Amino acid sequence: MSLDYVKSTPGFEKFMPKDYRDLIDHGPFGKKVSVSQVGTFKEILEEHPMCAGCAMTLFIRLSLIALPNPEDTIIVGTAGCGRLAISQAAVPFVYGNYGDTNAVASGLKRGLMTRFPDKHKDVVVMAGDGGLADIGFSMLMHSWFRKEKFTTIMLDNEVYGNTGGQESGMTNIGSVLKMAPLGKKFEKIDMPDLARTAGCAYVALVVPNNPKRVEQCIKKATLIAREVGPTYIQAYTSCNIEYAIPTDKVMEDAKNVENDRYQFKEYISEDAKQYLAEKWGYKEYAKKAIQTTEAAK
Amino acid sequence: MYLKKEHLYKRDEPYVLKPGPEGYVPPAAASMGIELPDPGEGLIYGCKTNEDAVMEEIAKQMLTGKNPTIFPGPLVLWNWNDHAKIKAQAVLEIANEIPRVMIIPMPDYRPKYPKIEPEEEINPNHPNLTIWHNKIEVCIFVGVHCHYANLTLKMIRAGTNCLTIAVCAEQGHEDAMLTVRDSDDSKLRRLAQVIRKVRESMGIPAPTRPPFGGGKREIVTPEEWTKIRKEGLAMAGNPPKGMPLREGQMPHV
Amino acid sequence: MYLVANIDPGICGATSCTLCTQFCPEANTIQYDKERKTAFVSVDRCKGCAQCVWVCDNMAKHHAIKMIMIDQLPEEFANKLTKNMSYEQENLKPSPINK
Ligand SMILES: Cc1ncc(C[n+]2csc(CCOP(=O)(O)OP(=O)(O)O)c2C)c(N)n1
Ligand code: SF4
Ligand code: SF4
Ligand code: SF4
Repeated sequence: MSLDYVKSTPGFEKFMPKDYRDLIDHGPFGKKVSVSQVGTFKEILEEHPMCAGCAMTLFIRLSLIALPNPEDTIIVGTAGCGRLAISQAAVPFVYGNYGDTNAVASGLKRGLMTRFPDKHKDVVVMAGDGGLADIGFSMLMHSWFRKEKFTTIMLDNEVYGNTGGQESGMTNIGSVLKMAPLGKKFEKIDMPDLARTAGCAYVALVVPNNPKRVEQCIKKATLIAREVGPTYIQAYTSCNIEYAIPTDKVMEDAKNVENDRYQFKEYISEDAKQYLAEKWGYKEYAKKAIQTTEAAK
Repeated sequence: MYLKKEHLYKRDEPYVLKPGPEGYVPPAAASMGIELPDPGEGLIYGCKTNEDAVMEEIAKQMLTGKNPTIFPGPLVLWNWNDHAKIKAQAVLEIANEIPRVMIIPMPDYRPKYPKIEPEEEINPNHPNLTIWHNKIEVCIFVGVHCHYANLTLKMIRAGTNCLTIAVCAEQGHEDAMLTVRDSDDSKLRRLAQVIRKVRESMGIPAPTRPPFGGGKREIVTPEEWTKIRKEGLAMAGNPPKGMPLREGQMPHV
Repeated sequence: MYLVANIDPGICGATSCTLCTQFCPEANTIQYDKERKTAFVSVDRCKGCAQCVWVCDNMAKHHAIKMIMIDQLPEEFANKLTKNMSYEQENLKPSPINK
């Protein structure tokens, strides 16, 4: 499959703005890029208005680098901070109404499968904790029950950041926020467990202070969603505004939270392991490798 | 300045779609009773007219207006398929007939916030910035999807005195002051010829330099331009095999 | 006047671990100069959050980045604007075919 559609038409090359010329000549389309190479190629994310030092920005940046085929990916987002950056990336972005994301993505993915039967078009939902765990909850769960083949990524800043600090279902118990002055009364929703129960083939819990791990999770999740089933990634992406974290301490905070309630967790179904091993050459999931590690135990 | 009252209520007279600035929220031309042209027709200031007459008016405006500019959209700028390729060449043919024309691309529709480079590009969410910065008073849009043409054309009419021309591959655009429809590559080339004819009849000499970028920056050298045109003309006489010569919004064919 | 990150090429060049490049929340802001073997900041994109300073101090332990006022930047900074940026692209391999 030639990637001519991410190049400019002959004659117009030089008239394109610099950002686009860089993207065409030095961008990641059709190439294998990884976070260890950042700084040497043009990223698909452009300048955007999210707050300085926001961990969500970092996570979005890493995810966009990690997409296995950005030229064939559509991202679905919604109201909330994340869309401010995602909409500035050189991948098509669909803005679902607040709460609609997983319903929109279901339709989109099915449409793409019909329209391009011989090709994978990845659909990735990237939305806030409020957007997914509160108002979008039923559509999120039902997309999993129906085994819709796309990836859902929760940008979990444990607050409604975009609207000034209300508590969400993902806020930690006891947290006092600007618009939740009495403190959160009930536990943080255990979404990863719900995802597993509802039938996700891949579930991961990550923090952005391990870029390589973020990259691996996003890659696996998008690949598995192509043929095996729904996948879910939940990322801690602190809001330094609502939680008053000094911007140069954001990574320190991420580390503390990782030790507290965000230890790396990953679940991969047996089908997904087999698929990764057979189709994408993941050696660690090949049958033999699994048997030897089990024998060693 | 908000929506002017007379626009909302006076519907007995035909609405004339002329260059702005028309105020903060100009009415959609369709809501003022302007209809899309039928095949073989175009619109001149909202009025259905024979296509040849529209093309002549386009030529006159582009040759006499201040800082004429062509804004190619994504359907022209990206190499979706072979048709996009030869259509792009036809757009360059048009540029080749207009002295001191600028080509400023609209490569995609992302919001481009917090900043855009108005000399390098135009963005449908704030096209007025590019128009103001480059003091453009007449422009052609080609290859912009309908929904973003809607937005762009209305915003330009709202806040600038620029005359807008939509060379449309579908049914024409009623929010542009001049528009022709069904513009495939052969119609684009016909437009280039009309511009040449009108230019010669007006005694305006042919351009001596290649088209500029925004801010009248030199983008391609005369030698490069000759090469681009030569390749383009070869392509037009000899379209690539198996080329789907149909129009439509779906670029992946 | 506002603060931007400034990398000391002398200190950074000794190891050039590229850690800060991976942790800056802004895309294409800390770039890597292969010839001089140092990371550098394209200052017009830097939002001044100082996360890179924390990373270089605490994770890389090299202390090569300082926040400074933008008018205090060394002369050469004009070359570090995005406009003048060139990508020292490594020979990237093609991605797995998407079929
Ligand atoms: C149906 C609907 N209800 C409410 C809103 C207002 N709204 C916009 S953003 C937002 C909060 C987003 O919070 P979250 O999803 O956690 O994302 P964050 O901003 O924290 O990243 C709300 C409530 C809306 N846009 N649409
Ligand atoms: S409000 Fe919070 S989550 Fe939103 S961009 Fe700012 S720091 Fe990030
Ligand atoms: S973290 Fe420090 S030493 Fe490492 S590349 Fe960045 S500036 Fe250089
Ligand atoms: S201060 Fe922040 S935005 Fe600037 S280079 Fe460092 S990490 Fe990036």
